[in-house]
Amino acid sequence: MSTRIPVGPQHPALIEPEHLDVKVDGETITDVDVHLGYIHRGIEGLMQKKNYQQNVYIAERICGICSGVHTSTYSEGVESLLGLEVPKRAKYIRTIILELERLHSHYLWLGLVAYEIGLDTAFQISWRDREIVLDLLEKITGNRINYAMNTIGGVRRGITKEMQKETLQGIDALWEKTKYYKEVFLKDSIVRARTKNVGVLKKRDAERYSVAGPIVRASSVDFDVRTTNYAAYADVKWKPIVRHGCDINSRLDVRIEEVFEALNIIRQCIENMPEGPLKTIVPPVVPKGETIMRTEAPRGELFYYIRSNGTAMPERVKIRPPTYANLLALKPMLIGSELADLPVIVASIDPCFSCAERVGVIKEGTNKKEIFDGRRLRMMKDAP
Amino acid sequence: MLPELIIYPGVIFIVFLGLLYSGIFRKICARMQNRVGPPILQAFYDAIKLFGKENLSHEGAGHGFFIWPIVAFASALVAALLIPVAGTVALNAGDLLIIIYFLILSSAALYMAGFSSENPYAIIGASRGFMQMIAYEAPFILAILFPVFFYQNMSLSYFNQLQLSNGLLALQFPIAAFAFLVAVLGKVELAPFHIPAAHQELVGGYYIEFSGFRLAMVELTHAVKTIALLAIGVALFFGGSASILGFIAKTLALLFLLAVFRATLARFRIEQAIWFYWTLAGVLIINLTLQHGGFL
Amino acid sequence: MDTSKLGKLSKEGRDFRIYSTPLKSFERALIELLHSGIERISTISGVDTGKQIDVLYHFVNGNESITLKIVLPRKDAKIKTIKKSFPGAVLYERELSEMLGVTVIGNESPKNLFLDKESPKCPLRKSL
Repeated sequence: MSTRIPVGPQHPALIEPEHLDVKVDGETITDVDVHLGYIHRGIEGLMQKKNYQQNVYIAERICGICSGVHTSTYSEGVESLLGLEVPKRAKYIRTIILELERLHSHYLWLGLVAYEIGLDTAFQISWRDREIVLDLLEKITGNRINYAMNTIGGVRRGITKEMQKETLQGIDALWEKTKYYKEVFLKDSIVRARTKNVGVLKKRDAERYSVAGPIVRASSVDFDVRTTNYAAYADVKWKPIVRHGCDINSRLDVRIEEVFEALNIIRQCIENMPEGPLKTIVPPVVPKGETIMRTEAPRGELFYYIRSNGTAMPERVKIRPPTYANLLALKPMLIGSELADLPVIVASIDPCFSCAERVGVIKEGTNKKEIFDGRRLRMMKDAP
Repeated sequence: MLPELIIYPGVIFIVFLGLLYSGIFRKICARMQNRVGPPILQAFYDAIKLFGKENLSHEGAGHGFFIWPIVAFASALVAALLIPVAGTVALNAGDLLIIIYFLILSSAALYMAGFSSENPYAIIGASRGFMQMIAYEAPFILAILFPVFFYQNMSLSYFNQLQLSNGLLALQFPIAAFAFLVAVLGKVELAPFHIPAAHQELVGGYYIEFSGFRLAMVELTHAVKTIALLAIGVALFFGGSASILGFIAKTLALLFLLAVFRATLARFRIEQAIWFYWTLAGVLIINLTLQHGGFL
Repeated sequence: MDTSKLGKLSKEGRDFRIYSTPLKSFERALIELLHSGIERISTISGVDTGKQIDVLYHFVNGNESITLKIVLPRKDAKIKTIKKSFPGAVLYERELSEMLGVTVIGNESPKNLFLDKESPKCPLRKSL
């Protein structure tokens, strides 16, 4: 007997709008089909109609959680087109923002996994502690999300001595709390029973399907884009976290260790913060050319391809956010597992669909925009 | 007889206490999770609101969809009336066996209602519910058998009186008392056994299609069943009760214990839950034969 | 790795290289990549320049991104699928055909990945 169960786009397990068409035999999943497109906004098309500076703001709004990594990737891409060298201080500040963002994304994810396996208290508590990171971000940048910190050629605000002190205090508090999470998520017997050998993604599959981020590192593939030394990662001591369990338990382990690693990186950046300007002078015209910029977002490899044709607006900005790459991992992980494990498996790739669905849908040649999902963002004004 | 049946410790008292306890339970859990939580009277507001709602049903709903929720509530209520509250029994008509029977009927009726609603989530939830029943009924009944075998008596009032003079039976049968509490977790679908209604997987499970009056029946069934089970626990294992204050204090302590379980444990998968309960049942059987073999 | 098989190096950056690969030696370049152990594909980008369509296959080799650039005509743009050798490219190929109208032979899908049924076709194409 086979039953079809629709999961999403409105479903308590998936806060993100996607639709999974799941076929189950008893409780075992036999087939799954992923449908996307519920929140398609057409950002790639929009970016071709705006100038380089305006696109920073659009990149900021691709995702609420990884807004910092989108802007710094975009800015570094444009800087490499311009051949600019960013001041060292700006690089350090970018790194701090990137790692704070990784912290709050990972805390959010820990809470979600706890929620999906029915451990509501850990969900509430990890989201409570995530507030510490958000408060720090608010103090530094003025915003809890969409930090508006990066710009082409540097950063827009500095980090004062007082903020540095508060950040260090916050980091110390988080260090203690994360130790406690490690106990809860890796030692608790029911959590172990629900995550060990669940959602297995073999190393071979992870490599073949080009999966990225903590998922692939939990499947014993050493792939962390931070080793390409963008921002200030060349100046700080850190190491990629790789685990070999290939299951959700390993993903928990990887993310918790990455939290410790991120706390370390932030501390090093603050302690060794160089003096100097925040921003260089940016030439007004972007020369003809193309560039590729890759960074490690909290969820995995973020990819930008920018091509300039010498005008005020880029000819093409191609964005490949991590969830889009990780979606392919869902099928090998879901088929054959229990329906009870579906929420936690889907959550384990940390899906973010505002991140996966933003490819262009603006009709070229006319000034009229057509946005097809009915969701008009305020920022979508006519190009200059 | 009649005021006892209807007012105290009868229908009104039981329903009132059930709703109040469900509010207190939510509040305790919320405070454990750093939340403010709903007002303690929230369950009353919900029940009153639901009774005032339109009576909706969907295409494909069978007759069972209308009948089973009422059966579930009625049988939970009958079970509760048969249990002594502070020494008085509202319906002095039966013994432990009939209480166990009505409690099973109440759970089964809820899952049957799920099956009748023809929703894929509800069907999976209901089949999980029956699977879980097979699992938890064994330790539940075995735990109750401990004092029954030892004192060769089936009347809850007898055990209530006995404990008032002789002290807690939980001290005499610690394993049975623990197994009883764990089985109660399964019976009222609390973590780690909230599997049939798993919110994240089944969106409410067997009662997904219920609304209005029928949803109120489901909520009331849960509330009354909780009170009934807590009252059995007090009368059978945890010291009995002579006054209403003692009854409330003891049941609240048990409720707090359940809330601690609810707040600290994750959800089992169904096969893990069955494995857990049957291991527990095995331990109980061995214990029963070893310690009280003479009475068998 | 014999980089001459990948095509002409057209751009080199801090951590990326872009090769212009002629369409007829595309398969040979893919085989060369597979032989040197490259399995990870970042994405596929398509650019409509107005005169032609550039299709860029972005692969990952350690810390470096290796890109093969294929030029296709705007009219009747066709390219063979690479999903057999690079299964990770399935969604990117579908996106390419959805957004730019490039027919990917061997990976046609009746269903759209992102766009609605009533959306205009190929929104990233330039209308001249």
